[in-house]
Amino acid sequence: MTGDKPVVYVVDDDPSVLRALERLLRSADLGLETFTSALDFLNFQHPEAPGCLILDVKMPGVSGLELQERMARQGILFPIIFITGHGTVPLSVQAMKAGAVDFLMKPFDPKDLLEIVFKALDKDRQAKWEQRELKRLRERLKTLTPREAQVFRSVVAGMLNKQIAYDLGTAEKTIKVHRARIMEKMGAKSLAELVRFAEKLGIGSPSS
Amino acid sequence: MILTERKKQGVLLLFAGFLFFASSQNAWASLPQKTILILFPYESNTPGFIHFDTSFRSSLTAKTDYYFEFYVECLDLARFPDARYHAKLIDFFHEKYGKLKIDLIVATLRQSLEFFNAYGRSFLPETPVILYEQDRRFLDDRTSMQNVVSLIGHLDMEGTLDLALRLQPDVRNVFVVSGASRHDQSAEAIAREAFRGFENRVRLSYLSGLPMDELIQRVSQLPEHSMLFYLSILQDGNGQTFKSPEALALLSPEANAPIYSVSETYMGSGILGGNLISHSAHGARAAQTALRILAGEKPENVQMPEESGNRYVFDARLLEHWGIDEEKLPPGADVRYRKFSIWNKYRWQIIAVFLILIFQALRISALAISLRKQRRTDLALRNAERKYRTLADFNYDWEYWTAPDGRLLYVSPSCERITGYSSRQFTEDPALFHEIVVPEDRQLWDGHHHDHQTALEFRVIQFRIRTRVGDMRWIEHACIPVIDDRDQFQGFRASNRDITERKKAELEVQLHREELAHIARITTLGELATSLAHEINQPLTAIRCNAEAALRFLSSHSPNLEEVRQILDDIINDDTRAGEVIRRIRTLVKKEHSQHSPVDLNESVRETIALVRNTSVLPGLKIMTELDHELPAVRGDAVQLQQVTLNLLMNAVDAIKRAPAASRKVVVKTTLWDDQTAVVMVRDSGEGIEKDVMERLFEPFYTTKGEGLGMGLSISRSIIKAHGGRIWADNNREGGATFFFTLPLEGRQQP
Repeated sequence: MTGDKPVVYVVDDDPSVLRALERLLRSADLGLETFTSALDFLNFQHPEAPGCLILDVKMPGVSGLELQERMARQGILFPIIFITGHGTVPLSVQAMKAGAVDFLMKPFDPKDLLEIVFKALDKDRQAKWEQRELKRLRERLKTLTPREAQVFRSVVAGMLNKQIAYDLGTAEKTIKVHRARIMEKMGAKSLAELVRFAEKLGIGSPSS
Repeated sequence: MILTERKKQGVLLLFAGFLFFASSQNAWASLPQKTILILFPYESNTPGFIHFDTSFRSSLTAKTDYYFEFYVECLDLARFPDARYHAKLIDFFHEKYGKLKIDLIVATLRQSLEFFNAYGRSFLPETPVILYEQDRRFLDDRTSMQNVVSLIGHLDMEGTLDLALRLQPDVRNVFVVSGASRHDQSAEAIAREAFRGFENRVRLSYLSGLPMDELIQRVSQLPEHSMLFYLSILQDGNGQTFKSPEALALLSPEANAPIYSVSETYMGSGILGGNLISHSAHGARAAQTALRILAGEKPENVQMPEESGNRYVFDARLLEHWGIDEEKLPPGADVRYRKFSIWNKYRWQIIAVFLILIFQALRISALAISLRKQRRTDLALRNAERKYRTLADFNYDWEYWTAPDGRLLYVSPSCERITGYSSRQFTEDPALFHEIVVPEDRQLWDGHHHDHQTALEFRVIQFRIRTRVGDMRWIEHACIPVIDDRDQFQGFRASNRDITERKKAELEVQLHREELAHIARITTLGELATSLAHEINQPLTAIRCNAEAALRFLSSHSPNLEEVRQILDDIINDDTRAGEVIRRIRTLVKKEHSQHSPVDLNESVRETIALVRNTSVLPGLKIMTELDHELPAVRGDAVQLQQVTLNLLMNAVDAIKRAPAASRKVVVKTTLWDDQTAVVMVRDSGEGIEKDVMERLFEPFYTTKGEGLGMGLSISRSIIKAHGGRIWADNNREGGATFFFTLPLEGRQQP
């Protein structure tokens, strides 16, 4: 959980529009970075803070949709809000499929834009938090011994201690020790929590 | 007493005669007198003697040396041959002339001399004698020639017969006619002797001493190929005496053959002619001889040259009657009794009169012909006049002709159809024409009217008139100066055509063109809709966002008013920007009649490019300009010219769609084409234009695009054409195509 102030990125080749957007976002107390071209945006060192991207679809050089693709390839994952002067249905569909948060037709209601921006920032904050928790769980997972990792998969699979001991050819008591160590190492307070961790890590799903 | 005119003349003549005689008498009185006695053996009125006597006397009296006294004694010996008569006659002469001094005796014919020798010598022994005889052959040696000068003629019987046979070579019989007197017999004897040489050529017959009745009978029944040779008849076989020409005159009408003879005295009595002895000529010779003797020469010393004095004489009437060609006559022959003697006499006068008549006749004919020609020419002129008058009168156009001073000489009746005013109203009121021209066009008309007084050349102008009932009509006025053969200005010939309908049609075409152009502009704008929407949405978006931000800033605890002011400035700018776009669109969309005014092509190009802004139309599109900032203005309709540029730009953008975004380039260039023309070039970096496409580029409804009417270039062409310019396309050497259009510079274009 970081307290970083969210950042709104704006890419538009029209300076006048860019300046107006900048003022609007500032009036909503939002942090922001403006770019007049997609390449400028790509070359920018993004902070970890949650953010979102307001992107004009048609721009000279790299267009909005192209930027969306290249961000995906580079793992720059921000919610994208497309704005366009002359949007078409196929264009918006393509954008939404590629993961756009919304598709706004110019001229739009600035309040709508702000609402979408806030939603996007919340979403990104959430996404960012989840990313961080998964990272932490993966690091905890790495601290488990192979036997503990083995027991971890069996536990989240719903097997009883006795069954696990029988499968491993060891005593039930030993299993209990392993179980306690796993709970401690993974930071789980309960078996339910441990199971949720395992799900996030993609371990021991009932199907597998 | 009143004298008649005739009597007056008579009195005058008498008076003149008296004066003449008086003066002559005086003259003669001073001359030596000579007395001449003339003897003639026959009766006095014998023609031959009369010829001789008259000629002799007149020849002498013509001389002024002497005063002559003539005495004539006709002895009548043929009718009175008795010797006792002769003796009594001598006694009478003796008594008569005994007291006179006779200076000369002229004895005509041998018988006279013999008579004188026999009876006169005794009392006039010394008096010289002149003997005249027709032919030597009448003389004999016994005749005493003492104190005698003889003048001998020649009866040319041989020559005449020879000539006669030459004139009538087919004659076989010659009948010689003579009487029964001693003289007749002498003549016959001479003839027989003379004609001996002809006996082998013709048969000679002598009709001698026949009674007149028988002779007449004979000469009327002569065989074919005959001729008569008349010698002399003083007495016929019955003892009846004749004067020889009278006897001939009895014979000749009955004779069935031509008659020849040897004496001039027979001419006119029926002989055809011959080598004739002339007694007149011998009379004249005798006179000359007489003068010499009277002057004192001895008769024996006087030798007169032997001149026959004969002449070829012919009777024209008989030549014709017997069919003898005058050409055969000997040279110098005297042809008498010509039928057309007037012709002979007055030949040259007649010819002259005739020539004058012919000349006059020709002149009259020429005059008549010329008159007829004149009439024909007049008629032709009248016909031509009628023909051309008809042409002019029935001409659909309104024609008029002016005199050099501007007076109207003729106005065709069509003026009434066109203007409502009659031709008389135009000719009577010279200002009428000026008045019916609508006020807006009067300056044009007056200017033209003024110009054509100074510059004589063909002109055409168009203007409007107001007809009598108030309608407006368009008139096309063409006038041409008329210059005659001598380069003299003869006024103007003008034709006024009512072109109202044509003008209407032209206006309609123009309206259609404008409408079509308008539609094309709307269509183009439709194609530009997304671009235009973008152009408007950008400022609108900025305005909205700015306004929202401003509201938010203002509702904070300590609003930054400076920020709000900047926002409002931006809002104004953005609004202006959106307004510009809308203005451009409205300019292209508005429907107005074309208005020509000076147009800055560079500005026009910039405005157009502003509509086709960059990426909103085609990603990567670069529109560059190379504008000649010195370019003078052209004259035209700004909207239509912008439409053409826009059209070419849109085509260019279309052409580079398939090119990679990086090389999508359009260049618009303006420059001078030449010193009177500007050019706009739109160069693209596309694939160029294929040859068959190039040929059809400007055709209506021809398109290579999926959508589009195919009217853009066609309309562009009609716009540029209407502006007096040219539009075309060409492929670039480095790829792509360039479209060009030219326009005349302001003030240089043709109307």
